[in-house]
Amino acid sequence: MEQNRIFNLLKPVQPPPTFWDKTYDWVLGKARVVILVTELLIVFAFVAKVIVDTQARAKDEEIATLKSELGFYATQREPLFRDIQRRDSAYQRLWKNGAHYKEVLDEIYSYIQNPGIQLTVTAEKNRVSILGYDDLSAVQNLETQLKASPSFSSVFVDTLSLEQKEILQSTGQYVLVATLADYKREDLN
Amino acid sequence: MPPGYRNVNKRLNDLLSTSQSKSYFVGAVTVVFIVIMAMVGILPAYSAFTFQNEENAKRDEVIAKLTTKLQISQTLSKEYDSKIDVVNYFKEIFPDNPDQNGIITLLNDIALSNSSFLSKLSFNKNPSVLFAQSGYEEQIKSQQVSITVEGSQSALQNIVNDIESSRRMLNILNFTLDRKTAEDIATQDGISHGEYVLNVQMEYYYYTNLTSTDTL
Repeated sequence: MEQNRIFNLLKPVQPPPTFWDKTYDWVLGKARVVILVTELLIVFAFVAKVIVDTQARAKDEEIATLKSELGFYATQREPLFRDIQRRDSAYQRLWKNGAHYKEVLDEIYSYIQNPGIQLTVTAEKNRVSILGYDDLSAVQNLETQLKASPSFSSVFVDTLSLEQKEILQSTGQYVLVATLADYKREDLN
Repeated sequence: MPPGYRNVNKRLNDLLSTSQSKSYFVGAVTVVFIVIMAMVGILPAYSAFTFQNEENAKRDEVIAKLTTKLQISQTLSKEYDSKIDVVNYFKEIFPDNPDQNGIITLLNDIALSNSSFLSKLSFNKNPSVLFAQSGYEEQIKSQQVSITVEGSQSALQNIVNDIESSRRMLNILNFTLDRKTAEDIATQDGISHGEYVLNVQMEYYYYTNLTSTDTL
């Protein structure tokens, strides 16, 4: 029996998609996007790692260059600077601890009314001794002026000796001892 | 085709025969893929990136410090070279060795500039008690020097001032300013160096260098 050939040019009618058909199509589409994004993230992460590694190498080279430049200064120049620093610090300390008697000496001699008298001024640390031979009123005057001066923190007559004939003349040998309020040098300018 | 393989294939086909099971399968495969990629790809790369970033930040700090130090060293070096005269003068007034000749010259010049006569000068290599008790660092050394100068009262007072203000660092330990007696003046055989005598005991200092190089 001859078979009849039937040509059906109509598009086959598919059954209407069910809920799960739609769900499957959606999941498939979204899964492609998700996988693509994941792969892109991986690519970006590795590219970023390569960039920071390159930066790290460049920074290491810069550090090595700086250290080699500093090596010259560390061995050749820094010892000179350190020596000057220490020397300067020592010098300033020595200077500040040094004694200064010029003003006190000038002041003492400014109080001496009789320049021709026998007078010895001795100074050591913060102590000044004035050994002289003069009229007692002059001695008293000198003592008063020294006590009134801010340069001296204490003044006293250590010794006063008069011989018999000197009593009549009101003259005698004396030793005045004064303690300096400050005998250190001022800071260096 | 081996029978086992045909069974697995048939079972897989049965499993994926419906849209529901296909949806679940695709979803599961996607999730598994994301988890695996995150664990073996993204997270290690990210942690390596952040670690290297932190290390780079530390390198930046080191570079900043080294750059600053280099700039300071260069500036100091230029300043040192430009003020080498000042440096040399400073080393002259605070030398490495005792330099007794320099002290003699200085004190003689001070006496002469004040029209006075330096009649006596002596050195004592031992440091003073005051110096020994001061606790200065090991590099600072001192020697004592004593002088006797004859001149006028004002001149000798100026000498005290010149000694104290000398940059050579002469520290007066004690002094005596005395007026000569008539007998003292009379025994000078007509040679008068002034009516006053100044005796000064002082010490001067010098700075010895360290034996080893001291660097940062």
